[in-house]
Amino acid sequence: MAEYDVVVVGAGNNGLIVAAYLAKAGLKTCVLEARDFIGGGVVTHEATLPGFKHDLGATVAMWIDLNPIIQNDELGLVKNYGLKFLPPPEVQEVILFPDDRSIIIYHDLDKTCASIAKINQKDADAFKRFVEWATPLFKPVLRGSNMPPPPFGNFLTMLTGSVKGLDLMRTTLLNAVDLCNEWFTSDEMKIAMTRWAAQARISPYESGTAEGIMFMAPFATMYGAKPIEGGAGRFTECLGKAIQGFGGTVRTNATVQKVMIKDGKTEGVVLESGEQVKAKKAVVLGLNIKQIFPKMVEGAQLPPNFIPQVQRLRAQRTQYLTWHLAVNQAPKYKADGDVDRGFQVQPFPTTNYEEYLDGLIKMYRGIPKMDSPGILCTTLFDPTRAPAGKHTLWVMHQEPFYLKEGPTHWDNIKKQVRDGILATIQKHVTNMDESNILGETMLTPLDYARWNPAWIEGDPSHIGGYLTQYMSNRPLPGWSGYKMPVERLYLCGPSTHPGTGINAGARAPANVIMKDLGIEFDKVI
Amino acid sequence: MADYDVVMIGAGNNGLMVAAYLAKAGLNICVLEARDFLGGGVVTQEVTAPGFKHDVGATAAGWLDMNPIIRNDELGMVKRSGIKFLPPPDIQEAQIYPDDKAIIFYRDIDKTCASIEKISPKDADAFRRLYNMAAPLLEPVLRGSNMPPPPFGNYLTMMSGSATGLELMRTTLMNGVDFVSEWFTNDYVKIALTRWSATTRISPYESGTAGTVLFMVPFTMKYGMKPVEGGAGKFTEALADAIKAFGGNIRTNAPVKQIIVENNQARGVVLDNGEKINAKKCVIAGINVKTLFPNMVPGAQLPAGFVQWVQRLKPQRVQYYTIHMALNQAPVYKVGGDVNRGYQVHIASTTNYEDYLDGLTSMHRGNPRTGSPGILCSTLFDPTRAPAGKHTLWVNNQEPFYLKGGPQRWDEIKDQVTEGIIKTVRERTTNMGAENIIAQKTYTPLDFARWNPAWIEGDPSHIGGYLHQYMSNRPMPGWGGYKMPIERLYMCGPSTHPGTGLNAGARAPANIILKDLGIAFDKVI
Repeated sequence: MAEYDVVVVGAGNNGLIVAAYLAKAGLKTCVLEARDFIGGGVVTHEATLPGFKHDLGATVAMWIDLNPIIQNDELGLVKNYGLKFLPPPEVQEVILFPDDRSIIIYHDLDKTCASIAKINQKDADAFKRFVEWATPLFKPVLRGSNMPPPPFGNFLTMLTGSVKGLDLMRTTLLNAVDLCNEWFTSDEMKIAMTRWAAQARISPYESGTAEGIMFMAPFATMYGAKPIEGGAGRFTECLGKAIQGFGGTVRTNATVQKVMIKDGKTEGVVLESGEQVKAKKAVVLGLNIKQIFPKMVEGAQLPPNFIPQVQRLRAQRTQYLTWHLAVNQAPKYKADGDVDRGFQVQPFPTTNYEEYLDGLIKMYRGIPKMDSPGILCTTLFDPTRAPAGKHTLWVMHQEPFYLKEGPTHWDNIKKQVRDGILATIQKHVTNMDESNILGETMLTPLDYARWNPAWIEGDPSHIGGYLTQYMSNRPLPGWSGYKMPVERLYLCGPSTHPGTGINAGARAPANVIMKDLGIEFDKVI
Repeated sequence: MADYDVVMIGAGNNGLMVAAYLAKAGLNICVLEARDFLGGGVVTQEVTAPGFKHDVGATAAGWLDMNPIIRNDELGMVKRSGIKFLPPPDIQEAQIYPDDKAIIFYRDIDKTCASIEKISPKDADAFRRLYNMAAPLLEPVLRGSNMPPPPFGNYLTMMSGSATGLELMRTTLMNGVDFVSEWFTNDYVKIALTRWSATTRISPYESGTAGTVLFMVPFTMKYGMKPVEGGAGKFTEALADAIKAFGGNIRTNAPVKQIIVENNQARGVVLDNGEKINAKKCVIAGINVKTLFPNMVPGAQLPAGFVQWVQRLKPQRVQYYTIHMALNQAPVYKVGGDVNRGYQVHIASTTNYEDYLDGLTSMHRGNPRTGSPGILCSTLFDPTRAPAGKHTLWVNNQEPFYLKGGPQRWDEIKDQVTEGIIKTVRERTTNMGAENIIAQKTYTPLDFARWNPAWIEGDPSHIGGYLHQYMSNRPMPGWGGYKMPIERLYMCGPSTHPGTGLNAGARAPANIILKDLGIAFDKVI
């Protein structure tokens, strides 16, 4: 029987991060991945044609390069394996309206305000004030995303100690629609701002969504999202190499069936093949909490009510549908100016705020949307992702997993949705006829649920970001510290704080596990 | 110059209650009321025809009679003034639908389940389970409404100490739609249950609205709403009797212009006519916090950001629109049976849950809604409110203060909206023709704003019950303890916890003020 200090189940970016830190600490670590490739939702594959590299899940890096994992190159990903974050593109985000007017969020506050002023001068002034107001509030939130969350109640209490804190508390409890109505007057601006909240894939009518806007406005204008050279998958690829470099093991095609528990302690795991892999010190699960409890922990003594609480965890309101294209030419937008240089471009079907909100509600109720795809042409900034002169496109749409007709209906309407999204793009682009498309592949929410077993109900976040499942309430109140109610069993990944994305959130559980094992994290890094 | 220990501004039920306790404690107190009558929003007046007594504002009493103010008759209101709470009617609430089906909430859980079973056996079982789950949570919430609120963060932390607490925390952070959808499957049932969330006059999509459902289910069965004999106004009349009996003074037609602030201490008040009234110990404002700050406290040193915070306090999404009727006969409903004996009858305009929610959203956006009034015929239980054999009807509709086109439009469309609401009632009844209506009087949200100067934007709650204005966040975080940032200045009433309604919430500030004055509350009661 194979024997390790630590077994990590699931080679998503979070599991790999934890494994890399633990391996660096000298622990004998083995990562077990069910699929035949590592990376979880952060992978780059030639999914259309040879030479065209597509980020099948996450694509944009937000603030991970500000995390010590990169900033101090704690795992040697930059130095040893050549991981490279490109500079944040100047034209960060473009919000396109039906008449091809736009609001552009630049990696520059003044330019952003000038763009907004073309739509509404008052809102341009308001945006400037808004960023000034939000800047001191978003920094602690950014820091908090790298740390184990304090209990939600304590967090709110802590905030009441200062004027800024009170503002942050209010924003944490406020919904995005109210925040937008409080600050902005034009419908176009309200749509552009609410979009940041809706990106969280919960309804902007829900409390807590105001925070997304408070965060993104200063973030986009001061820091900015950026691509990883060669594809987001380079990040997990480098992590895999780092683990091996530190003497760890990474196995693919190794599906874990259950966690071995003896006398209330975690002893290792059993693979589907029957093979047992022993873990002397800890088992770390980078899985969906709903995969684990109760099926994988037979014989565990769980607290009363734990299982029903897991079972009623709710997925995000909507999931992702992505359409990957290999194209001859980058899209040429009818809108002039900087739109063609945009990193993320999103057209909207309306300039009426209420219609925009109603469109979201319809989608939450299970009706496909098709009219507001996010379009990323990363090859504009990173030509290594395609053969010379060619481009890739990452077209993303929020869509409900639970269609009115049920999730299996996705297979019936896939082609129709593909055509619908293309028609939306064609309204705004001059060169996106079928002849520009060299190859393509599409993943619906249902496809995603099949693609990644941790994405139950197609949810890359595992569970939604509602206040009831936020910070220390994630995955469950009382169980947010990455330790599960079985000794030596830990959880990392989107089921835990801070949730989904390329965010190096797993540095926190790595820290917690080492502390439990009597290893000083500071000395390891 | 008149000289008192304490000056109370506003003779609403909260101001009167605080004044009565303070007067009983031997303090020389004066209540100043701007209008020519007492009672604030809790008044009974003959507004249609002689002998017909109408509760112009609040009408149903919830858990007031369980508060020590009544239970222990701490102010002698029962003994001295004969205040009498009638037994809670057996048929608490009936929800009726366009197809004349009904769901009836009885005081009795079995009868209630039997009523739901006719619509959906599955949901009848679910209702019983919800009742069993919610019943143990009722008492702590009820107790909490009589006490100064703990800081919101501490409250959440406290909750996470027990399984019951965690359940309460989850519900506190959850929205009504999600909560109801988690428990129930049938659209009729979902509408009937979500209505309890919607009665808070914020959107059931907003976090926190699940709490009302959780509360009302066991409350209805265990306690129930009830009328005050002779009209809700009897309650404020009895309070005024108590104040006078304890040697206190009450002046009507005495609008307060401002508070005299010296060295950041409240020293008294100045009336509109220039008259000064000294308050040696404190000034208490039973008025809207937005009226108080900053206009009524010139020269006060307020904390940084305080006034801005007050100015962005949000009213409820919608307000009340009330039609008072004097009738020959009580309404006879087409659905028949027990509905005719119902205390509160609610009409739904649809049997489709999504349509129901869209109707609310449309109203929250400023469109009048005439299809779903709530109807109370208190004379069925309290014949003293009308001449022999006759009836009063309290038809209450939620409507937006801010109509599309502005609140002043209410004056133009009032007749039309009233006609629309009466038409809705007529469609569900057999005897509500013109011949049955002796007289009627309508109050629009705009009328209410004129009627009661504290009801800014027509809001009897002063400010909405959003999470950021809830419990210790009410009126503002840091100022949830009834003390204002000016020494010797206190607040009571709907701007403070627990908000609007006949709830004896003002017993808590009375307690706090006495404590500050070195008087033991326990010895006073």
